[in-house]
Amino acid sequence: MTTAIDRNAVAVTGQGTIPMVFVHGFGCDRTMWRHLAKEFSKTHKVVLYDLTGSGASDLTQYDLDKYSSLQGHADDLVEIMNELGLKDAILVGHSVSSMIVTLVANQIPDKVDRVVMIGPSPRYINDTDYPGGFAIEDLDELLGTLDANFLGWSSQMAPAIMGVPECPDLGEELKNSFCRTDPDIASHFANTVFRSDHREDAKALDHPALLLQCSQDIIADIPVGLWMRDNMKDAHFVQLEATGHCPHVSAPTETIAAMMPFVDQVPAA
Amino acid sequence: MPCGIAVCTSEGRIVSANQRLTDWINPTQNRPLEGEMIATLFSKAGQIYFQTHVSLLIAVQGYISEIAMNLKRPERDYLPVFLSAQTIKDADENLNQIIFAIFDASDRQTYERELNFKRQKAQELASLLDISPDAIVTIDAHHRLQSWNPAAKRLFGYSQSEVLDKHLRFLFGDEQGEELLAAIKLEKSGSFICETVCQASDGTEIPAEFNVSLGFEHEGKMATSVLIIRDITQRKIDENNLKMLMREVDHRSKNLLAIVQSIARQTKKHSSSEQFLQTFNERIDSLAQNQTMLVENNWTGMGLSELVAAQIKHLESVYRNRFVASGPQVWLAPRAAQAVGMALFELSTNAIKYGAASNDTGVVTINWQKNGPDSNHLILSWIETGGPAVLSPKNTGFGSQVIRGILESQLEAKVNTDFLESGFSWQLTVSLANLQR
Repeated sequence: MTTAIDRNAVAVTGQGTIPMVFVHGFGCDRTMWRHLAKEFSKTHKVVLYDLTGSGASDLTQYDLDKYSSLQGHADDLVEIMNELGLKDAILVGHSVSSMIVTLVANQIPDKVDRVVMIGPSPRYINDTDYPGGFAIEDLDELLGTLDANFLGWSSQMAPAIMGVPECPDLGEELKNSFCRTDPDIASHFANTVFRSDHREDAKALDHPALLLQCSQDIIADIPVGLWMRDNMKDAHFVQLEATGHCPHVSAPTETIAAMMPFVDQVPAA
Repeated sequence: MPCGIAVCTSEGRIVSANQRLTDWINPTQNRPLEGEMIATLFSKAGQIYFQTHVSLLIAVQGYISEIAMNLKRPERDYLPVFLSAQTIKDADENLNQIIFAIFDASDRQTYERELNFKRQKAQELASLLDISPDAIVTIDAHHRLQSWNPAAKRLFGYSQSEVLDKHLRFLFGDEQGEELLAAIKLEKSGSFICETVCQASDGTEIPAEFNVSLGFEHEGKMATSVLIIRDITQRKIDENNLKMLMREVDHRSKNLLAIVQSIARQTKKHSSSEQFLQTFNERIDSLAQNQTMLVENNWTGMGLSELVAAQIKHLESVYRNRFVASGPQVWLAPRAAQAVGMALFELSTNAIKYGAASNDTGVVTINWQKNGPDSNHLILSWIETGGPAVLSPKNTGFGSQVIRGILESQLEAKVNTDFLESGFSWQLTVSLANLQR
């Protein structure tokens, strides 16, 4: 029987007792957390892992039915937390994983203390009175782009990724798997992500939630962030200077500074 | 410059762009690109891909090369491009600038699409070859084997490396396949079907049907030809069985008619004209029921006593006490029950037509016992006495096949027949193992 720790290549580091679990988003793997993991491991127990189907996870465990909704990934995180015996955890989700950590917090509320959402969006496709930012046709084109880069003749994604220089705090095996996965899984995951709708789950969240909103984020634009701020029970909205969708990679210092006061609050109970 | 160049801040904001890139994005108004985020130059999906993959790759490994993207154009169509990038660091090793190079990929994308399409088709064909239940092989202009699918390996027992470049003749034994080889030589193009016998690696002969599609002549040379080879061993067996079965049906119906004639004769002799029709009908019914039971039991096998009883039951009411059977219980498998049953039916028909049952006094004694070392053989005897003078049969037709040939070939049995003064006799000697297999 495979453990969740093996399946998702879980790594635990850090000096503290309060656990922080970092969940990467669509596209890459836990390598993207390297700046934040380094900083928070000084004060917390840092748990990093790869979503099933990404990075160094066990690709053979990628079940098309299970992972056709984010709930499959949420179930994985619950298993990981149970195997590690985590409690009072701070869950940090990037992009689509903001919704994965939301599902987990709603599922096992007693083991989660608070959540941090970086560039969150509960739904990417536009709906009546909801500005998701994308049309369903954009998803089809994205799948074409994924295919072109995975299966194309001259521009293979995999070889471009070999040999990542200087990531001192990460093992060699991580560097080589960065951004690389099975093309079919990538397409399937893209479908799952961009067809998901977790607006009700976000509204139902009882935990304090820090929302980090980037400037000029095409994937989760400001109207989406404002929708979350206005519809969630205990949202702490912070607008970052950083542009793009990955401030924890492009502007780690600002991201860490924005997280610090929220993370350092003493647990409520 | 043949390609678009953009120098960006570490965040991806364009500091300067060359004329080519500006022309691509906005050829009429020459709107400056400076100040725009580089990601916004791409299609909506391209922007997602840029944010979720490309920018992270640049941040982690410092460069990207030839990522396929679509550039936004004012006319709403996209320009397919390859995107490469390199980061520049300042003296303190901090990320300072990112330089993007963007190449027009229209032509290459067209080629790639074609290539991918062809590759997909080739993969489909390859998987068809792999899962085909029929052997599919190709030969070159000199009739040498060039490809060999898994079914060919199963059929012939040779691996691809064992047959590669061997002449097609390699698949045939001496004097086999001449017609096929001659046709391939003569026809040069088109397709035809041909049945012949070929030879497997262990020497087994394989009756096979060849579907041949010959390559077209190209500049005087014949191109590759495709041969689909189907094992028709079972079809041949089935065809033979069918022929045999039709002969048997023909023979049996003639026998049945002879029995009906005989029953009519015997019934007339012993009943009044008022009783005749009723008695005759009863006897024909009994005959019909017996036939049904025989056919049904042939599928499951049966004991020899039951088999003998079944074969002579229809004669009981007419030939009271003149067919006498005795012997121990011996179980027969379906195949043996069929063969022995047919023989007994044939013998009884002969007895009615010409032998001990053709007059009013003759008797047929049927008995059997186990014999030989460990009682592993069965001896079954059919002895006729008190009948008319016996004549040796004139010909050896289907009847003699049934009482001798089939038993000898199917059960490896030994059959003796004697045409004695006292009457005809028949004796079957067969191993129990063969009866029960």
